[in-house]
Amino acid sequence: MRKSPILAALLQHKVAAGLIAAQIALTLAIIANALYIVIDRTQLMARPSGVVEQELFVLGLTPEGSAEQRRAELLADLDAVRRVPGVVGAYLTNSMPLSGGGWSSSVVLGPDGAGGAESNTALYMVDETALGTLGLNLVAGRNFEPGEVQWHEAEKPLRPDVVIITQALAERMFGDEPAVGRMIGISGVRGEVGSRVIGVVERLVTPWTDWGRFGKSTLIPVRSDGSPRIAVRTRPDALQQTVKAVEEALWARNPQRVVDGLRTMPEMRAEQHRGDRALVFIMIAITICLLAVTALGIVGQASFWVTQRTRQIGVRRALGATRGQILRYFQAENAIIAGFGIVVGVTLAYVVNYWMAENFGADRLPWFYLPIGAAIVLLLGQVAVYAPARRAAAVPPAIATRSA
Amino acid sequence: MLRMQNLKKIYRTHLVETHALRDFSLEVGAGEFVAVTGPSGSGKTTFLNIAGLLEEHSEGLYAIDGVDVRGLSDDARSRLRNEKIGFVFQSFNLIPDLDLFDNVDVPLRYRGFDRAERRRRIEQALGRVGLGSRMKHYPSELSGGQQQRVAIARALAGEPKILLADEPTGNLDSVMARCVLELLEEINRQGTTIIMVTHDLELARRARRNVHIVDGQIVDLDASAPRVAARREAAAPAA
Ligand SMILES: Nc1ncnc2c1ncn2[C@@H]1O[C@H](COP(=O)(O)OP(=O)(O)OP(=O)(O)O)[C@@H](O)[C@H]1O
Ligand SMILES: [Mg+2]
Repeated sequence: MRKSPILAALLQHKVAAGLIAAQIALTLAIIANALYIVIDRTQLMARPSGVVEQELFVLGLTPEGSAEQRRAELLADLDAVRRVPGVVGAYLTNSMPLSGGGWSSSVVLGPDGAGGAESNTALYMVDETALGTLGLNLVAGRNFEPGEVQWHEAEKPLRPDVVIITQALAERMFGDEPAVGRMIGISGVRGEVGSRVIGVVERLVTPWTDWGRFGKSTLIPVRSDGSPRIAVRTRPDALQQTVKAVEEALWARNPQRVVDGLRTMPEMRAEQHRGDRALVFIMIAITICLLAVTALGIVGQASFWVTQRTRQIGVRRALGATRGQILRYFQAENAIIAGFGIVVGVTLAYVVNYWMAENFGADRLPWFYLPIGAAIVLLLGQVAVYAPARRAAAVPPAIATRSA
Repeated sequence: MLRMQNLKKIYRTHLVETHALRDFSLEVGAGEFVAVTGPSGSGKTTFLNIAGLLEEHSEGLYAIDGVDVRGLSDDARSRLRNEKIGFVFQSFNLIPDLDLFDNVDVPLRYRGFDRAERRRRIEQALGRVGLGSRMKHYPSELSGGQQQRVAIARALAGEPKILLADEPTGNLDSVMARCVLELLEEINRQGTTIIMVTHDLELARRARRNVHIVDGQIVDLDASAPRVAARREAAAPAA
């Protein structure tokens, strides 16, 4: 069977066509991966934390003296903060979601937990006011009671009697079974299973943004007198004023004190995703540059061919080609080149992704990014070739007899 | 077959107006073989381009095969070219990237024939010019005379009513030129109307009818009307 004449003619210009096809292939391979990273990171940045971010801030306290003195001072500070106008709630804690720093622990199941799973979790020290302060949604069980909140003895491991866990952790640990009432062990030693799940909250993310443990958090009714933080919720739209008012209230109690680590939740979120945002920006920039360079390459090559074939185009017109047929010739030619580029590019995209997965722990590229990438480069080619193709279609048929 | 009445062609550039054809009237009947001669710049190619719908005339009437071409769209003119007109150029104008088969295929594809019909016509046309065995060759592998024969095959494959040739032998030596002319004569005998521009008076004399153009006008008034068959018969032995 005979080849299409457009293909046959192209094969007479293997190097020029091959270079453009290679450029298209490389572009496809890179933008498919870049696009995946952009979408993945954008989704990652858009994940809800489960707390009322616009109304929350945190600051560090550094109490001094004996354990008793420190505890008394912390409770007095907490009391003072809660009295500041604009403050809706406050509690002592070790960490905040998206803050980048906190405690993590393994979680094991109790002896009744055959068939369940182990997991990793973030630990948040809270009191009975934390659910309201953070704006968490309790979906099963109950909140802590004031009597359940204990001071953490510095040398001893954490052994809370009761815990509240997130739905994500509950599903990981217990699957579809109800979590409330089940025993788990935190701090990871099987056999030391002494914590009862008393409640489940819908969502509370970890201080860290990696996918694996992101939603799996545990609230423990514990206070630390080490160097705790105080989490504060303000009235809506009063975050900035209230931050100042709280600082002043604390200084008023003790003018010598150091108030450090003051950060609002919006700041923490921005900081936590700074790398993601930079990566998204870079990937978009690379994608745009590549598309532009490839488009210019196609425009250049097509323009050159139109000029080179001006006479041939005139002859085709003389032999009865309409302008539309000339236009479509160049469009079809570009589609054939892009087709070769796509075949190579799809293969290359997988190789690039495989290499990145092996070397940088990147995720495997979902297959549907390849047809999306292919569609983009095909469209790019058609857009880029349009102007040169129009110029070709405008070549007058008299060229056939006029240019000797 | 072809009727031009008081045709004018004016080329306008920003500096000058060139009256390439003025008050040009000519009728060519079906089956004629017309040789067009004239000095350089007299308007021969202009006449052929207008006749072949490659260019539009400025004023006057032009009808081909009964169709008045005035005001036809570009697409309609392309279709008319494709169906009714075959071109043979001085510099052959084969497409270098395509083999002979695909070269002859070019106008047939624009016509929209199916694969089998195209193949039949290509093989027949190339056979007719004696190149049936070289369909897979490229133009660069042929001599000039062979290339021109391929161009003639390409013009014939669509079975046009009229074949227009602008100095078809201009790039060939006299032996090859004679060969090509004999081919054209043979085609004409089988019924295709031919109009051929040539500088070669010897070749022109072999045509049944001569049209001489000077300065955009036909000089021999007698030549502007088709000759009746009887006169053609009478003239033939003299040629
Ligand atoms: N596109 C154009 N623009 C302006 N003037 C033109 C154009 N084409 C042809 N002419 C002019 O029209 C006149 C007739 O040209 P034409 O090409 O028809 O002559 P010709 O008889 O074919 O000459 P030759 O024997 O040299 O091929 C010439 O004066 C030429 O300069
Ligand atoms: Mg000429």
